Amino acid sequence: MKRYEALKVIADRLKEELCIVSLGGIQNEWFNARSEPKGANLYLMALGCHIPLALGVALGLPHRRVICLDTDGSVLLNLGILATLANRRPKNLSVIVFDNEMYECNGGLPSHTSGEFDIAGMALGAGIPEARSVRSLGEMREAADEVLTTDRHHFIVAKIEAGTEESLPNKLTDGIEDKYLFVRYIEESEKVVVLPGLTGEAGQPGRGRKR
Amino acid sequence: MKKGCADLVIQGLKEAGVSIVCTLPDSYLKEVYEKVSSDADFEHVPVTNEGEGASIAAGVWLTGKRAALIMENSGLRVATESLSRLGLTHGIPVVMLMSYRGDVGEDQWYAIPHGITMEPLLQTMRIPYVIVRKEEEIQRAIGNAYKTADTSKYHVAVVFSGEIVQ
Repeated sequence: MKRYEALKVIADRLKEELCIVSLGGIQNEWFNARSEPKGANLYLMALGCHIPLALGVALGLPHRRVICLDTDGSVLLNLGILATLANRRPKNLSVIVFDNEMYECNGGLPSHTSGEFDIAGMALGAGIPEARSVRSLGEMREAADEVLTTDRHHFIVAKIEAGTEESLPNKLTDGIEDKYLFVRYIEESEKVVVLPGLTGEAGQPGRGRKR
Repeated sequence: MKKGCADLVIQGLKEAGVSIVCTLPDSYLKEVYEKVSSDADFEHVPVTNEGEGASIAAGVWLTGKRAALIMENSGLRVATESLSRLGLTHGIPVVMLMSYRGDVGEDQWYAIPHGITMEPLLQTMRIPYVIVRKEEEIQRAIGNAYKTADTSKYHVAVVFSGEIVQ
């Protein structure tokens, strides 16, 4: 299964779900797979931070569905989050890990998942029910449908081929602009103030207030 | 923490509008963790390491709500890579409350290094911080930390030391 094909399967099913996206080739592929709404995606350049940050978004907006599109390298950097997820099982957060068994950005040196280590097995052992791996586009479709139609936490590992789709237009924004796009989308879709701008002005709503 | 001070921390957090609190406990702030975990006004999120706690708090900030990360100052060393990525790479702030282990008056040898590294690390990261040693400064320091974090879109630390924790 190619990562871009798997990402398109997910993107085609999404509406207003918030996505936290891992780093590496997945960022540009997701940027092309899900072009709208642009601000519903946060491209986070922070290995190991994706699942916990997605959990923070899910806790802040318990009525919104949040999906974390993570990678094997990022999960390996912070396995402790599996313990936190297992104990909370946040209904509005699902994690899909794209596991290519390597650190692709430095030329493809193998990650621990190329050996005996199994992220889905680890998650299952941690106490996350029904954590599992999918290995084909058919299985990916089924998993994506389940993630989006059931009201519970899902932890899916998508075992993918090596390689990044090179023929796609490049995402041009940096981490700061991506933050603002995401925040403005939350403000607009939630009718809430995240960044109040100048305070003390007449009629200026403060942070966290409904508009 | 000195009797009554933990209540002031809790009050300060509530006045600042904090609703989600990530913790990794230490002994100086023991009473704060106990109060956070039993207070229905807070969603208490125990974490496995401080970088994870910083990331959760950062995610909460993006939604317009307010979170806190409460920890020992040694946790700052664990969290630094996450804080660098969240704050410097993305401009997403985290407000941290931490104990000042290793300050003058420390009585445990293992905590001395926490004191040696904390302030230089905060300064290296250009994280503004306030060291609170008096009971009457607690609430104002917490309120100001949230104000500055929102204005600067960068991390702020409130550090508890002296008679209120030792």
